[in-house]
Amino acid sequence: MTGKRIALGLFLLGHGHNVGAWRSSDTPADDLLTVDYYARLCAHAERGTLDMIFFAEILYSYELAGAHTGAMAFPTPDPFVLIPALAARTKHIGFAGTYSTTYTDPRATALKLATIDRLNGGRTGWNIVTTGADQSAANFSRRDHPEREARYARAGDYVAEVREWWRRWPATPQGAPVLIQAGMSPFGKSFAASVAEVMFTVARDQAAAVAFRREVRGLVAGAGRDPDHVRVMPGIAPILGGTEAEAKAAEERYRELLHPRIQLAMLGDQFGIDFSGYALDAPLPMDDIRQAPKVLSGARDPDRLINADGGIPTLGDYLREQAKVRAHHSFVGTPEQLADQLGDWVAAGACDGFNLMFPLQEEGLPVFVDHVVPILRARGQLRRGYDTDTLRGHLGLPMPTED
Amino acid sequence: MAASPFVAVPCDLGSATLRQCVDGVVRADAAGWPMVMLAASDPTDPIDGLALAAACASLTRTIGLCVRIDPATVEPFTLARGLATLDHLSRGRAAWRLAGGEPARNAELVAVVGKLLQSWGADALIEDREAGILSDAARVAPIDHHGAFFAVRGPLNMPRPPQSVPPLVRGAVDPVLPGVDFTLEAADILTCSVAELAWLPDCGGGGDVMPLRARLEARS
Repeated sequence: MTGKRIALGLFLLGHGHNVGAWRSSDTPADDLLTVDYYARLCAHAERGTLDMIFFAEILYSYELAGAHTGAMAFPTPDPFVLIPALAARTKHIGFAGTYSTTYTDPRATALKLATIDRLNGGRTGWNIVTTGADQSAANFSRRDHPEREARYARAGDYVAEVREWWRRWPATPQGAPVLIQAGMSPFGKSFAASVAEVMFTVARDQAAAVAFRREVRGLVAGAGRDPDHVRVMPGIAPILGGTEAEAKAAEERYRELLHPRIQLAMLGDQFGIDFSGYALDAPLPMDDIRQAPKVLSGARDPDRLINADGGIPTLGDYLREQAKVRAHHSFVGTPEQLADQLGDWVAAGACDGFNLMFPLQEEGLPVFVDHVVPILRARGQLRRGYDTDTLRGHLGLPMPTED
Repeated sequence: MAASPFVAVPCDLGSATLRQCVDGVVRADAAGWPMVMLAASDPTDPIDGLALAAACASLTRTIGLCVRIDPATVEPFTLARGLATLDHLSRGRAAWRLAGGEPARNAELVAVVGKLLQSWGADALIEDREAGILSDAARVAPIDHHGAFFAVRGPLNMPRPPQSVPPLVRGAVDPVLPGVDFTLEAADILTCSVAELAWLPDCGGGGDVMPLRARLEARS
């Protein structure tokens, strides 16, 4: 049986995407700043012949009401320093990192990416973000975080300048780094349609993902590009068990890692409100949230807190919902069930692949590689060994064109 | 400071490939050389020093890695994150040099980067699993810097690097900066090409794994 190829990225963040993952791991938080910690995870990913490893970038320290939030401020290295260090210890897998177009210089970013792509033989991607977190402005000599429209206007000019620098300097083995985009707002989609080769997305369910991909492919075609040259990769947070019951038990164990102090810190960071004085069994303080001193849009839009039936969840209920891996699609089940679901989504046109976000990386990744990867290989949905040398090659993307 | 020809190798890339440069640094590390300074002089073929140093860091054990920074457009927060990451990943082997830029702005840049790198107390990562507290808020503080060139709130979103602040190197053509102490001057630096890295004699400095700053301060 030969199925459609599934692109696979691994999104590495701290001990895992469960914000309380550090409470369970045997790995001290200090190790999150060593090459060895990430190199161990990279070795698993390369053994599983994944396409790429992805690192996010955070440009502020988590804080609550002006104070450093010690509950969840896990160390996040600069991705464009971490990636060349890890590439030197791997041979095939691609690497992608986030860098902001709002708070960095285009020539400096172009130079970082070009140098990394030459060092690792064309295995680099850049996740272009305009930075949604308004806390970043105060670290970059700005009074205010720019509005989304202004940020995307700058992003367009910024990417054009980066590509111009890349044309002037010696080409890399894949021509130029792969361009990735992750915003799902109308500005984000339109920007992605003009430049993105990979889109990292948030998909709540298959039907929504099918509709989103269809829309994006239309926008890409409208921008004069071939829709088959764009890979749509939603995040998925797999919790695996040998049986469904084992997987459900793991889910419960992960949920308990989210100490109430951590959940309140997450919520406080999201809205800029100190929630520690609010009752857990009372409805969310919508009036206070609407007046929060933050840019509330997209994932932070207060209206997204309200239930489908119009009811307002209690703070406690909302925190339990948050215990799932942010807004991303979560999966709880057996390796066979996960392989089925990944294949179903791709076959249905919901996506071209997935960005794997394990709640506990050191626990979830080896299980995925040992038990899900062999199924995907047997179904012809994943390579048995690397047969391409560059990230562009792994993803089946063409060399960049002059445009 | 007494001039010592055995302190650093400024490694001008010239026509060498990045791969040859990394291989050369690996050899210089094996031969026990204390520090290499990574720079490319050809403006039509520039490199990012932090990325090159990071690749070298993960393949070497004791050699110091001095990165040439273009200060003209870099923000202090970006530079502090990059240097802190390199210092962590290399276990205390990062050093930096500002090439070009305007002296007054460079001086403030150095000051702000120093404050950011030290915005976490040495033992701020407490990892109290029962209480759900990863880092001690009392030991991490904003820097609230407001100067002529930069306004930076901080703190840095990374624990204090092994050297706190990596050594700052002043190259031969670099101006003195008001209020800035350099750890190392260009007079102490031996020049060679990437090709010459292969011919470096054993300098007997390897073996001891200690922060670069401590090595530099102990050598005289």
